Amino acid sequence: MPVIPKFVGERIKRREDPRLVSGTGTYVDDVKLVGMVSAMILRSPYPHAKIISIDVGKARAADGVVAVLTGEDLRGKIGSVPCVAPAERVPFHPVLALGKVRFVGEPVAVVVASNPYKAQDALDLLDVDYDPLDAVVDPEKAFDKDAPVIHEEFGTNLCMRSEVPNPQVDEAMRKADKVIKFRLVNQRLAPAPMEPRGVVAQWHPGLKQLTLWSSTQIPHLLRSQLAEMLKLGENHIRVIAPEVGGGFGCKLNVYPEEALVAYLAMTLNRPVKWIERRRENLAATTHGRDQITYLEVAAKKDGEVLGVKASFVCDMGAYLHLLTPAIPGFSGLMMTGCYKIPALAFEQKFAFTNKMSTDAYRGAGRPEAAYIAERVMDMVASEFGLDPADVRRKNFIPKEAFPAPTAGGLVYDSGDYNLALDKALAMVEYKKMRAEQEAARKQGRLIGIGISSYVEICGIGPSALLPPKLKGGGWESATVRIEPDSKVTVLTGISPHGQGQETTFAQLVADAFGIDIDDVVVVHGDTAQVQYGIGTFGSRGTTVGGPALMLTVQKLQDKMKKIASTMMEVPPDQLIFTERTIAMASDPSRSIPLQQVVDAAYGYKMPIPGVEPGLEEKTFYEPSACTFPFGTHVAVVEVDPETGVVKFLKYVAVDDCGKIISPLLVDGQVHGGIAQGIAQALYEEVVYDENGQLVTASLMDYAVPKADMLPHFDCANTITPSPVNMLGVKGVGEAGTIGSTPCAVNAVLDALKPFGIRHLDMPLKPEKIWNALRNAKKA
Amino acid sequence: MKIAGEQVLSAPREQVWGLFNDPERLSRLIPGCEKLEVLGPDEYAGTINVGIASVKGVYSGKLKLEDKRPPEHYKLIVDGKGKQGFVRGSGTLDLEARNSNETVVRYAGDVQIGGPLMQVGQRMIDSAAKMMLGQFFAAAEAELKAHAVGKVARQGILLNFWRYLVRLVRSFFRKG
Repeated sequence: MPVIPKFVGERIKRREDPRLVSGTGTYVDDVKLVGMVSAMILRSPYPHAKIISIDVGKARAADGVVAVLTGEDLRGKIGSVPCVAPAERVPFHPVLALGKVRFVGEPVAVVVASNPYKAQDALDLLDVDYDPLDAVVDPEKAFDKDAPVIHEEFGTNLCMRSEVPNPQVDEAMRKADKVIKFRLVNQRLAPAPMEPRGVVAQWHPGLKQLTLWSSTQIPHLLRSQLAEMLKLGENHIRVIAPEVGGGFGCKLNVYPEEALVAYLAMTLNRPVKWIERRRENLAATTHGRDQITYLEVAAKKDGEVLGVKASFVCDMGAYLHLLTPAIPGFSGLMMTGCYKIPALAFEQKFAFTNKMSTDAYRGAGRPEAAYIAERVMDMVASEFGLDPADVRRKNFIPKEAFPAPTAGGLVYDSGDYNLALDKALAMVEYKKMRAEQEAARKQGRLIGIGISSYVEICGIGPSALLPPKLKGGGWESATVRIEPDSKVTVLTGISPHGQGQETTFAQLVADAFGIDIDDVVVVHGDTAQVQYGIGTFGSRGTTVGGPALMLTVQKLQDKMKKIASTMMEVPPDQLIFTERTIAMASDPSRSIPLQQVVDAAYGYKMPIPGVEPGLEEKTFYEPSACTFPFGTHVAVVEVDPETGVVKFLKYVAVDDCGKIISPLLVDGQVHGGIAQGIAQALYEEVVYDENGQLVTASLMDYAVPKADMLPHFDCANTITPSPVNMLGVKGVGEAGTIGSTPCAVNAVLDALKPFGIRHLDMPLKPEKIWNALRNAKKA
Repeated sequence: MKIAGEQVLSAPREQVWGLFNDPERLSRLIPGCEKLEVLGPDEYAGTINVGIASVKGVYSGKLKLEDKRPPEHYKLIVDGKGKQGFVRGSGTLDLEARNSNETVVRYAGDVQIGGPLMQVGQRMIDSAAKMMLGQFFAAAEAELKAHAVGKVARQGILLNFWRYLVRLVRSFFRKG
């Protein structure tokens, strides 16, 4: 018998990758059906305008055109694009614009034709007469008296105002040696996944069944929302998320095109495909971040922070998408970071503007919070001339304090923040680097060292944390089936799109049953195959989906032990799974092959009285709490004083995501996260001009990070298991993004410190740095 | 986008004013202009065919003249659109007689551009606009000269581009 290795904790390559890198994966655009037609969407070139008329005559008559529809044609036929998060004012969000357009890129009409080229040609024949209106672009001006109102029915551009008051904050301000005030901007970003969105819909008229392929992170939640929009039973809709080429939160959503393409397939009785183009993706797929924060920090001379008061202006965009108004809440609650800051108060104003909606983007509210907390620490350090590492140590929640309640009202599960900081500082040779920095400054070289100690909230989570209208809580589901040939099929409710659970979950299952990883198949992303599940977002795949899986595995193990116990005449609690056998723990030579137990379960060899036939179990797992991964990133940068270009000399990341199942995948998540986080710090920003036109409408103008823009990353981990779940895991999907942004910004600003430059808003482009240096030199 | 500049045309102010108020002659000077029709007093409808970067297309729209003070000033309101986007804005035109045979033309405007024209072509729009204006003034100069001797100047995209280059080169020497 071959020796079967253990898989958990090993650096195993992703089992998904061979098919993805060899072009044999199936993405939405690879779905080809007989009689399929193509949809193309006409989008608004105006940020804000009345639609006077739409002339569809020429387009309808064009060669190959099957249908042309406008918003008026759909009135009353398709429900509002949903927003499930609570807000004071939730506008109706039509699938195609009704009467008015409210952002550049808003869908206005759809053309369906025999192929995409004919559809595109027919789009050019549509004639829309617009009456342009003034646009609201700056969220801080959205509440001005003379600002144009985007949704007339509200009479205001204020979507919501929320407040978390705390009288202790005023007390903290009185006790402080200094109250530091500043303004921060978390700029608007485009998630820009490699695969844009795409939808294929097929209607089976006899069965009255809709099959919808969509590049989504949430097949089941999408099914529920589509059922409501299209007034269909959920059991009449099958949603398939095939290979999904990245989501980063922007595919944790329900889009107009998903309902529209479904409606077209149902009414035309033909399969319909729509594939988003890159320019559509940048204009009409949800954006992330876009928060302005005014801060008041009460601090003592020794670096102790007594309290923080913040006022946010959060840009919602023109409409509310699935969770748009829920995202900034996380920024407020997590703003105290890994610090025992006793008093926190904040106010948030949510503004409608003539721009694309914001929503979740990798980190969703926590990168903003970490950026605030880590800029606060550096501001305090520089105010009192302290070492930024010491200020962090002074304020850290000590490891004895866990589970630790915070000023934001959360309870952090576990942590050892000093451990991660010390490890990162040792890796970067902090003292030596500070000495080198000093020496370099004397030579006129601008070297900066940036630290960021972050904590984030993951594994959401208890269902109470999610809005009820989502039609799915914070739980996750799993089915495990041992097939008659003793191969294992896992059906998971999460919907991985790059996270690699086909590998991670197979590692867990293989070890649990003592089988090979190749004996395990992980199925996900198909509502007809998989029991209801919530999906993949908020670093919850392994954190919530993992325990759901392992509880199910335990149920199956129990059943198999019961069968084996009867066959072997050994008590079940003395049995273990090893080497494709069930063996006695104390004497592994006493064993029976796994296959014999499976045969018995399926009833054709040796049925066991009192045991149901078959080997399949299912679990819906509700986590008791969220998890709080943390870590410290340190960057050393050099700024070229002549050009303002930032060069990384070192980048160290120490992340603690609890126990690690798949180290290679943890590294991969951290690498990708750092890339996106550094990109926010230095490169990326969605730009609308003063009239509301999207300037960053193509990848020529939107700076997605490339390999040559990034340094070598030195990654390491500390391991502080989470007490919240049986695996001790915390989640790592967003960690890199959260830790790296403030780290890079702090490093650049540290380099600029001799010039008295206190703060610059992201992205820290060479031009911005160069101008700041020039102005500082003049002064 | 803000546009501003000045050009000197070698013709008396009245003649320049006459040219700038004659849609028939103007239509031959505007690069890519396919049509310029009178809709009413000081109101015109036109079609123009231009390509900026990879965004080529036909734009049609309306032109309105306001605040007319012959022979020195008017305000121009433009509202045009095509498959590749839209252009909306207003500007002013001022004519100043430098001497009996030279007129300084000053223009200033604020234009809003949208659609693919903006999204793809934005890096080129500034320089494309400058070039088109340059071509326009080169053509205007030729037209004014020909008109003075009772002829009609030949116009054409390549010809006007050549005239523009010649003027550009001359202007360098003048500055030196």
